Amino acid sequence: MGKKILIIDDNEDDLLIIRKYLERAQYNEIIVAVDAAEGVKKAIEEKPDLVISDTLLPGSDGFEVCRQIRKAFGQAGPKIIIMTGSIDAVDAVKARKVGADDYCAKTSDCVPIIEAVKRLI
Amino acid sequence: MSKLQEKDKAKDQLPEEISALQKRTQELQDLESRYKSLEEELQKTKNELETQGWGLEKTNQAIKVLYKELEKKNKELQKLDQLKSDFVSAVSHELRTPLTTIREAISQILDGILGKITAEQREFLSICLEDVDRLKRIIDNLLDIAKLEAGKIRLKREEADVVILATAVSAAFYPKAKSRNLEIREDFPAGKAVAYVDKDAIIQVFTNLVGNAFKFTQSGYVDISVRDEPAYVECSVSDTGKGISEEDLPKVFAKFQQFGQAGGPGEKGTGLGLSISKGLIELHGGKIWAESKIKAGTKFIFRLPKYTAKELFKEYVTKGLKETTAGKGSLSVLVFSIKGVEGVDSEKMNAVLQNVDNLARRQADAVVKDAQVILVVLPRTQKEEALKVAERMQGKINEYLSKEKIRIEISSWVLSYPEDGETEKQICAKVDQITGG
Repeated sequence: MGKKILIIDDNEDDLLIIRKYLERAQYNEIIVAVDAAEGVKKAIEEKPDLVISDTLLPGSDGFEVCRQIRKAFGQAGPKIIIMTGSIDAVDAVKARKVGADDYCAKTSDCVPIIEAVKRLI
Repeated sequence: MSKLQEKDKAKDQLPEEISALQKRTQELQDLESRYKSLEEELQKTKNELETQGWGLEKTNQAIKVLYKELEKKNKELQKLDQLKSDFVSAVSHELRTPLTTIREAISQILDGILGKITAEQREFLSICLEDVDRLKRIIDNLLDIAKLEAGKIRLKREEADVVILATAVSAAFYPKAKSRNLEIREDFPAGKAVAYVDKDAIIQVFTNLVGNAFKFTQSGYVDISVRDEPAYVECSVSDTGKGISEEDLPKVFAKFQQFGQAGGPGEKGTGLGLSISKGLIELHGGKIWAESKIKAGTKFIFRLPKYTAKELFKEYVTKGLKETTAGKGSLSVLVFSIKGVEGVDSEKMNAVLQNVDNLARRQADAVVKDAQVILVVLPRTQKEEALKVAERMQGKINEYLSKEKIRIEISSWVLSYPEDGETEKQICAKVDQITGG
């Protein structure tokens, strides 16, 4: 498919699981980052088609990452999904306001994430 | 007035009109800008609402997904738990058989049946025998725990006098008390303390608690008490032993917990007795707890709710229905209503009740009786089948009554789910109708 996806998550196990499921869904060009700063840097340098970020990240959070990517690219930037293990309506609204395209739950089978990815790219 | 004068007047009025017009224009402009800002505000609010709505929708979706995941995980856990219980119970069974053989062999050698043995051999074999017995106790306890955890223990509840049960346990410990030079104190009410309990289970709990008390007490006494309260029977076993520290007290009912037992006299425990006791008391709808003071002693107290026949019956039906609706099955209740008891002496009456009770217990564990009615709950039984059971039992009852020449009329009814009632309330109401209560 030739779409590049960046995953930002500080939990190595989660990274591995999401990567596995994305690869199974034929998304083969995947890059990862384990904190907010690395995530923003990679998003700007590598210009992925889509960014998936956890809400809680060392040093910052997924909303800040989203805001910075939007600031760097304007409207032409990558699609952004904010994912979380602890669902919160306030967080969902926050995600929308900082320019995220989707907000979804992290589950062990990653179904909501894969569905969101398929919808967006 | 001349035309000129009129003109002059109009001339004078002109600036006034112009200024009024200007004012009006200004007002209109103000209105327009206010309208615009209101429109902007409205748009903003609309956007905000949309964002909020989006957030709520996403949250809603996510919660649904997470809930499903939770359900799935829960089912997996239950399955694992079941597997664990099955495993423990299978292994324990497998261990029991060879253990019995070993025990038998050792006893025969010790008894000299297989030839003379030396004193030293006897000593070693005695130690073996003690440990084999201990192993057997551990396996029995493991089996009990596995059954409790799997919900496989079905209490055989019947009307029983807890004082009689406590007395029996107390008496069984007399020899031990004598050999250890400890006193057993009994604090029982003068009358009965009747509750709907599984006699064997309550004896097991008492035995465990009294056994523990002896294990941890070097001098003084072990006190066994039973108190009859309106709603419950409260029992306690206290000792003047070494006590349990405050931090250990909450852990006493956990599995495999043993505290400071090293060097204590008597047989070694398994660390399972108290968690088995707790499980058994809770199955009765009761509760058990401990109070203790270091070096002063420990007191274990348990409370057994009394239950009336009707309450217990309701609980059985509720439990049966719960199993039923999950499996979309059925449930039947046999009602044996007893009439014409006037003039029949109570001993005979009791014999009749016991007889019907015994008959009923062959069909199900859930049997409730009082003076006028015997209720048998048959889980997973359809009406058709229940009618056959009732008929068979009625035949046996009539046979017994005529053989013993007792003039009591016992008639049977069958109530089934879902035909006769869809909730325990409806079924209980039908029972009340039949018994006229």
